[in-house]
Amino acid sequence: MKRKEKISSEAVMTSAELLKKEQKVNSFWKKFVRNKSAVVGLVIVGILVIMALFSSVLSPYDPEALDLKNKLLTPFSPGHLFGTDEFGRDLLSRIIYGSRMSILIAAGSSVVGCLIGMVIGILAGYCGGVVDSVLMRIVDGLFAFPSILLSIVLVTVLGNGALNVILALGISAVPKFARVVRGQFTVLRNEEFCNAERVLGASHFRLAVVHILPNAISPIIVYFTLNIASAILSEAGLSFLGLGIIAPTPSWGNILRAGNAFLYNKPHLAIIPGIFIFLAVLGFNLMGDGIRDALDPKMKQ
Amino acid sequence: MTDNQSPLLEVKNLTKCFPIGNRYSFQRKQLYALDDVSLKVYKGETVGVIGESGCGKSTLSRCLVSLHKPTSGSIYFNNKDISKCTGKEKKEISRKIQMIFQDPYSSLDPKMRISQLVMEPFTIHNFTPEGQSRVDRAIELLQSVGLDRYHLQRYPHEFSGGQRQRINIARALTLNPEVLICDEPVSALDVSIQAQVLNLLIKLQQEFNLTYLFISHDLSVIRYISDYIAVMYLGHIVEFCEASGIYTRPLHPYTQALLSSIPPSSPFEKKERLELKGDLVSHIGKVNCCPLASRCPHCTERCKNEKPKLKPVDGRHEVACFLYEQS
Amino acid sequence: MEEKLLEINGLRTYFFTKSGVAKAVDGVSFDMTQGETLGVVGESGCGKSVMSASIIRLLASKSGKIVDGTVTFNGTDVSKLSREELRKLRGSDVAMIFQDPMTTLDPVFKVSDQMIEMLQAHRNIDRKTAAKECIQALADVGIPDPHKRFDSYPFELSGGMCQRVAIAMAILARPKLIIADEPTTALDVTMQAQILKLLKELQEKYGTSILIITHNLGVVWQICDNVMVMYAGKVVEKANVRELYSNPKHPYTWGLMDSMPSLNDTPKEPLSTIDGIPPDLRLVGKGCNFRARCRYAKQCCEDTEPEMVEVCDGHFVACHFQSRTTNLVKGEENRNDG
Repeated sequence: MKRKEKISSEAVMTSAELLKKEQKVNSFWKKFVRNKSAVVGLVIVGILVIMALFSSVLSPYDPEALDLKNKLLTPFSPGHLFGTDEFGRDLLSRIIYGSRMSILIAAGSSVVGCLIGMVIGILAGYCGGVVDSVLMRIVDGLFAFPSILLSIVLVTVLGNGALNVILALGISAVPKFARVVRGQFTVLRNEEFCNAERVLGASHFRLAVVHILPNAISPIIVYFTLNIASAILSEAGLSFLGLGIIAPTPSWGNILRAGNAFLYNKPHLAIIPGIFIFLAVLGFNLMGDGIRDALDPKMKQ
Repeated sequence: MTDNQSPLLEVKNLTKCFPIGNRYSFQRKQLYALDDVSLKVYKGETVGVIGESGCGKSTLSRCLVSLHKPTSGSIYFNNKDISKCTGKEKKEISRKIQMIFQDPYSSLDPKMRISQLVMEPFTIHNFTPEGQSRVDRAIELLQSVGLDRYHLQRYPHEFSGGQRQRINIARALTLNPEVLICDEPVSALDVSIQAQVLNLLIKLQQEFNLTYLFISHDLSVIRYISDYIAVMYLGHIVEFCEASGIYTRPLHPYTQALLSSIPPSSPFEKKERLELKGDLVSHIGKVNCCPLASRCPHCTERCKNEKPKLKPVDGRHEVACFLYEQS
Repeated sequence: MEEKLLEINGLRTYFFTKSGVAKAVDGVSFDMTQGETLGVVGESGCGKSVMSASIIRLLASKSGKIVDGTVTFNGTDVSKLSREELRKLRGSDVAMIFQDPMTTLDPVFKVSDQMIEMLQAHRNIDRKTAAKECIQALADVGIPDPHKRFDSYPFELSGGMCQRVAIAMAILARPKLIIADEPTTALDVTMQAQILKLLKELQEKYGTSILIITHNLGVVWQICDNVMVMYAGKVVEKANVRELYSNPKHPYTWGLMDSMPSLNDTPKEPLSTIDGIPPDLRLVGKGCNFRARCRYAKQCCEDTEPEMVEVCDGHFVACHFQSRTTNLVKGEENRNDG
């Protein structure tokens, strides 16, 4: 009974100490860090963000500089860690610059989707009734298209270019965000504390923005990080189809597309960007799951 | 509390129906949560409302603070019909009627500090108490409910149930209400804490000259705090009388049954039970008989065909039962 | 001396959390005889539910562990039983009734399926005979029209009816002990009276022992023979109900009895209360747990834990100032020098 001895020897804490300890143990950061996979996710995301922010410092070459003498070099060639592509451009530099494009588009489209989705979700969830029915049927209509198909249609209509890709991916993410926000609002608006605020005379705007939104924010944050992961994938898909970012500006999707032509003799041209897409998606997913667990009050220790 | 004085709060023929079943069907059934309820509350008194779950006592309280819109009937506050008021006037009146909710755990916004919660009514109604800053008033209120200034910076989850109920009371008091609707304020609390909150409510009533409408399912709590008691059954008030009278002279069979089901107050007490057979019947659709008809031991043919009205038997003692109609 | 049905000795159930060890049950000992009704009273979080779950080793949380103590049921040590034997014990010899009848029953299965499945799990019996017995049990607990109810889903029944079904399931296997954890808390008073009456009747019929956990002293007065008052994981007083009512000894019991508004109290007179709130179970351990809220507390309450002593026959109290020789009188200044 080693445990028993340990318990009895442990000095009895005061309540102030307990409160402190409890706050420490249950703080968001502590809970997040305790989760190993979440930390892995955070590290991956951190590296990617640094890559995107400091592309010009980190990349050894200009990603768009042609060097036809050294084309299609294999990885670990002197001076070119990841080798070069069919125009002799340094693959490492292109990957680093590509991360900038991919993350910008993924984050940007998530912001667009989240904002529009939130407005729709708040209106539908808070008002309920007819407003809810009408808005949700519209959202259901958007849901009916596979989101990649929807973005393809939108890009075709809007035209190529980073901004349009952001818009297209953002709009295709709207229905999911709207659903998440609406779900939270329909539950929360019937909570007793909302009734208490109504009795005190709080306005609808105050109730929705000051009281309900802060309580609904954690699933939205989680969904936001998870959506970044899927947006990276969608952007890659669009660029792969030639609808996203157009060469010579590098993005992971169009690097992969270019590498596709040499899949038999120079597979690294496709595999390396593939690995980075995979890592980014994995990183954001792990981080999102970690945030969800850490924000969940039921996961208290 | 004399008769020539007009009541502070008066409920007249209040009916509240909830539609049930499919939202899109054409013939939706109506659930009568409140059926023709009338009640008078005079200034400074406490009216207790007792009944089993589903009898409509919570619906009544929610109608009074405009959380539910009555289907028909009216609520008068100081002789003004609340449901007819709009805009500023309505806001003014609703300030005077505040409510304390049953569940202290869910009735405070978990993301706000106590200071924000207690001072929020000032922001909502955009006023500053006379001769005092908002913070000072908040501290004063917290102290009057037995909390302290160092609690201001904490979040609700750091408090126990009893303390949270105190915070709720402090919030309700910021607006200087005249009527406080207490919807089962102590039923979620432990006995020792329950007594603390009851004592506090009584102290505050004397201090601020408050009028209470106190809702509970616990007879001993109701009897302890109320001057008058209304007994509700299936959306009807079946008996209304002075608090002491309900124990010495319960008239309605339901009141009698309710009284006989209270657990004994000592192990030596052996009670004769008046048992009601069966369960609550559902109150879907309009009822045209005595609501208790199916369970009442004194049920007659008349009870099954006609609904008894609440009629005075003796001063403010009123009962809705045909048994007492002749006398 | 009567045969002991249940003997619990020094039971300790601790919850090991990151922020400290919560001593939910800290050295509880008692025993029950066949046919006895024992009430356990205490405020929420005093460990009474954990204690009852520990008896049949049914701790929901992974962090909860029984660290010490023995539970002997009907002569066998429960801690030595294998998983399979425990399962048998739970359904057939010990039955549990929980607070919320709506959640005890699985909402997606019919009452009939749940009852028959339970019966077949413990006895080799065919569906038809099982159904017959189940319907009989439903009739026993006073459910009108048992054939119809037998075929309905839990949500079609009211709260009181569900609790009756739960009781019917509990008595199916003719258990020797029924553990009822707040069986009437979720019910209305009229339904509570009916359920308590039913439990009493069933007990007389089958000679079952009942361990009833409640926070309502009225329930205890109504159906219990003996009562145990728990505070912060420890038993502070145990006695026969009549003895406890007429001669309560522990300051906490006094507070508990006084803070219930009774019909004989003068309305609006301040109720006597116990100041403060129950301690956090992670903070208890040294000295008397009640000392912070006790107006009679002295230095010795801070330093040493009071032992359970017998003040008169069958009446045990854990307070420094109560024994056969010393006596603390309620309301008087504490003159004992502990």
